[in-house]
Amino acid sequence: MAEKQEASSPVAPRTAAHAAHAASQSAVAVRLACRGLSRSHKSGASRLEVLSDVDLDVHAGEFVAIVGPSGSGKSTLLALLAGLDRPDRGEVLWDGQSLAGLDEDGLARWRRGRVGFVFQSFQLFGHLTARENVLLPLDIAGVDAAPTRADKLLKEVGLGARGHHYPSQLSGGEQQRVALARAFAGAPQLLLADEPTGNLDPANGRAILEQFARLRAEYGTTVVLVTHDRDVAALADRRVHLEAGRVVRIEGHRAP
Amino acid sequence: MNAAFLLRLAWREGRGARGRLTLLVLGIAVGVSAVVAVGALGAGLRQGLFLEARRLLAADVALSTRDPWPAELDGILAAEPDLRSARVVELPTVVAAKDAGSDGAAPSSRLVELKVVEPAYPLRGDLKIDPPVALETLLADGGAVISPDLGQMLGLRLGDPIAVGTVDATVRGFVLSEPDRTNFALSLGPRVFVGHDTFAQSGLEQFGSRIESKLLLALPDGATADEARALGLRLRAALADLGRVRVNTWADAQPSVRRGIERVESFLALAALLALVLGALAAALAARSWLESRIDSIALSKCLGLERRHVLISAVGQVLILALLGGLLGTVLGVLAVRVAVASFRDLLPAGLSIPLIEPRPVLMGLALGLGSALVAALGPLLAATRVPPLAALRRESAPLVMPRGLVRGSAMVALAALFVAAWVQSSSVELAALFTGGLVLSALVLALAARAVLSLARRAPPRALPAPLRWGLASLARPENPARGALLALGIGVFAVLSLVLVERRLLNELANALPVDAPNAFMLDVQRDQWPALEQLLLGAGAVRPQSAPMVVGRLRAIDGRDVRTILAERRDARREGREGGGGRWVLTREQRLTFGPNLQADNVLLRGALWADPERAEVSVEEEYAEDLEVDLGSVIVVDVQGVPIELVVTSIRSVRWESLAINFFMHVEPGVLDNAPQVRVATARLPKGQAGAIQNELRAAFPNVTLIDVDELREKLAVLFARLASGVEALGLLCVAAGVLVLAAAMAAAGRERRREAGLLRALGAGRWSALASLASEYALLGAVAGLVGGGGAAVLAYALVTRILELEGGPALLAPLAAAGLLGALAAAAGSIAAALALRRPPAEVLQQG
Repeated sequence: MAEKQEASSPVAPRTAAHAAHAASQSAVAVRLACRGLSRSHKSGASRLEVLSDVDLDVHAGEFVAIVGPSGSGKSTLLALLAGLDRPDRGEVLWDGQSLAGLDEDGLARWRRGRVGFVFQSFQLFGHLTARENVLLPLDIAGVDAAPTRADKLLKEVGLGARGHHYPSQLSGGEQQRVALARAFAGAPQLLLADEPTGNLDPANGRAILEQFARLRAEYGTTVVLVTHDRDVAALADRRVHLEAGRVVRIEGHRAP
Repeated sequence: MNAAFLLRLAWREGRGARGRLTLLVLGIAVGVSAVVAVGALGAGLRQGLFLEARRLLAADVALSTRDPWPAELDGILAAEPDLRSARVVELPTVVAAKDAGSDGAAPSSRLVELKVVEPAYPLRGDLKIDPPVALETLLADGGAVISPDLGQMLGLRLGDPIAVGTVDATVRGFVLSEPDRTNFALSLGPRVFVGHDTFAQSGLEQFGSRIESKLLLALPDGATADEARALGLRLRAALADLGRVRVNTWADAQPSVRRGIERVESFLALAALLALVLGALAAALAARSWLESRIDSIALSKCLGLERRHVLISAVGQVLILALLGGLLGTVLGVLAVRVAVASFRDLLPAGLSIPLIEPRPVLMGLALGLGSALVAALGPLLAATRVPPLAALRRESAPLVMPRGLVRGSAMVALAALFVAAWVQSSSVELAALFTGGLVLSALVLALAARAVLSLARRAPPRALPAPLRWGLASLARPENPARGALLALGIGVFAVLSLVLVERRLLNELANALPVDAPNAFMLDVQRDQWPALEQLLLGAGAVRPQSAPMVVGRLRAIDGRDVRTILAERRDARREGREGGGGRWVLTREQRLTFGPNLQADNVLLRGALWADPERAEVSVEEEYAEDLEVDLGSVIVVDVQGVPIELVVTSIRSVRWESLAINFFMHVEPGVLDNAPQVRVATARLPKGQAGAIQNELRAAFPNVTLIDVDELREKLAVLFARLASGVEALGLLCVAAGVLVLAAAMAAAGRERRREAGLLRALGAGRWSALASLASEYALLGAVAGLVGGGGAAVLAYALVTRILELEGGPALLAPLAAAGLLGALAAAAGSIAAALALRRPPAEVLQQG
């Protein structure tokens, strides 16, 4: 256990093995990073600090889980990393480039084809069939052979025969599977998930996690996932613990 | 990603929200149907009036003059193809019987009103002749058709000769009714019809100054009211500087009719404006509600990489589709509504009237206005939709559509400008459009201020003494970002629009009902000798006549005005006209026979405008009717010299008055004070209301006892006018009902939209332990307050606008209806409370958890 809980932040290596490991780690590119990220919200007459001075590096292909009690600022951090919100201080970097220079439309363009989402409340378009839901981000990004890819993904999540059904005709677990298919269909470079099993019962939750892990392994996507569920967090390469808007602990190892 | 892709996306948004979509399309449809229905009904009403009123003119357009026709007239008329025409000449003259009457005592000659017609007369309306043969046939070869009165007076029967000027005509028939004989009070005698050939032989043309020449014109049968009016305007413009030719269109046939029609047209314009406002309101509510339901979808799309302009294109596409569907549905509904209205009022509409299934112009206007107003009204929500933050996808509670203040102000200004332009186009009256738009802006501003006041009041902690539900209701109102403000504005505007119309409608209907008082006279008696009146009055009263009234009439000629000879003034006016200068007033008014009356009091329908009656004991005073005074170019203090049988009488004008000619009572242009003309040669003119069915018997009695008295029966004219006014009134009522119905629907939609948000709160209150009735009461009180404020402010604005419209546009009297805003406040408050309670009650049926989760 202790061996696995090596911090990835710069610390004097204790053994040569660790040193070698650390060296190999830093050789892999940092895809997503944030520096000194801070965000506050107005609450009545005062301001509430939701995030204070968060630093984080996410390497290519890494699966990072952000954990913490409710109100710790997990979702806010996720939103900032996705470019869905602007920080008060600090910046978010993608492949070394700051997102600060992009306006709302620029951020949308950045996300196009590059970022996939999985939400707690599934967030499927109610007016589109399962297949059309999966197709949509592909069409937006102008991906080739979109229909083929969509069908492939739907089959992978076991809903190949349900493509023509609307979300209202699918169960919660099935909807989340469609969401997974939609998120992975475009082979995104970054996938952001917000409590993906939060609205599912344990059995469905486990099934989703299995799908998720399989797809992630297949596409090698960089993942940042928010959860308060230990089992979900256990799947991650690293876990970032947040409390009251600050990083209190980073633990875990990076899988190659 | 191109526009086609985005529009496909837009189209797909409709799937899966069918229920809400239907409601919203219906919302827009209601507004559009109001615009279409008002337009179609208005057009049908106008056409119906046209068909009816033109009979009173015996033409669509009538030209008349007392001078020779200008040479250019033929050229001007040649430019108007497809016109039918008929020449008419009218002239007072004396006719005589050739033989002595059968009883020997009948007078042998009589002053009559000669009417010389062409075969085509009348172009509109019908002549009733006995025997029922075409007038053309009867007048051929020196034939004459006379009124039965004259026949009695001169002892003439069919086939008898009658001397007209230097020629003898033969009585071939009797005229029982004439479509365009409307000015009875100014008649000089019974009617005689002859043909132009007979007239040419009679030598009467030398009396040119007394002749009125008319040219009756008619468009092809399918022509519309607007085409006829346009023809009249064109001719008026073409003939303006070519002499004194009067151009009357169908609407000018009779003063009371003209004014009634003008007022109804203004009302139609107002109703159309109202429909426009309702349509825009419905569209705004529908668009906002629809776009609010799309917030999640928009946020998610932005997460997936859609930019703001893509969102805008898609949203505009959605609104357009909604508007188009709503517009088409509304058009169908509007046309159907008109058909239903026509069928219901079938017995009140003219026989020949048929409103075609689809009259293109109002339908297209309605569709265009509906689409346009939907887009303009949706502008604010559309722009707000593009600003939905993608962050909303991550949030767990649903966000409202946030409209920043600048956006609200900007889109409101655009909407108002568009409304003003549309109002101008639809009503063709800048004043009406400005008044309406101005009133709307003012009311909206006051509403916004009132909303702010109410909300800030509610924000103060209400005393604990108030019952809990009321406190909750107030607290709920005070919530930040309470969409109550929007609902308040929508409700207020709706009330403002509908109530303005209702108030104006009430006043107009009142006026139309009183246009012809119930006991208006239906018989005119002319040439009553001075000493005959007491006996005549007794005869009439004895026969059951109501309100026999008479006035003395002295005939004279103008000699001088303000020390200047009339001939000099005439020459000046003639020269001015020749040279195209100002000052070319009428000749007839100066050369005609002046008819003066006298007596201590003015006639009942006279209103003193300036000066005082009989203020100067030293001089002989006269009171002059205002338009006549303008024609004579006299004012207070002017001195008029009138020649009565060779005796010059000097009169000073000491008052100017207006006359309500609609009442069909006896009225004079010049009313002299008592003591001046008392001994001048005079006759009396009398009116009375003869009981129905008795008229014939009374007339015979009258003729036997007073053979020199001419009795003219105006019942038929009265009936025509009464029917006309009744139709105007029913048309006005139908329109009013339609608009109110549309208004109620729109208001209901506004409240329903606000009601959706309340469901969650009802659930929340329940979850917190509030009893069902408490939760209900809290919502009801919140709604009641909203409704009351909206009713008060909207109603107040409506009272002010209605007052302005009634006095300035309809030119009627009346004070502002001060009770209206209070009534509206009370009514709307109650209705809103009821609506809110119903919405809450429906929600409270389900367990709180379910409602909360769904939220």
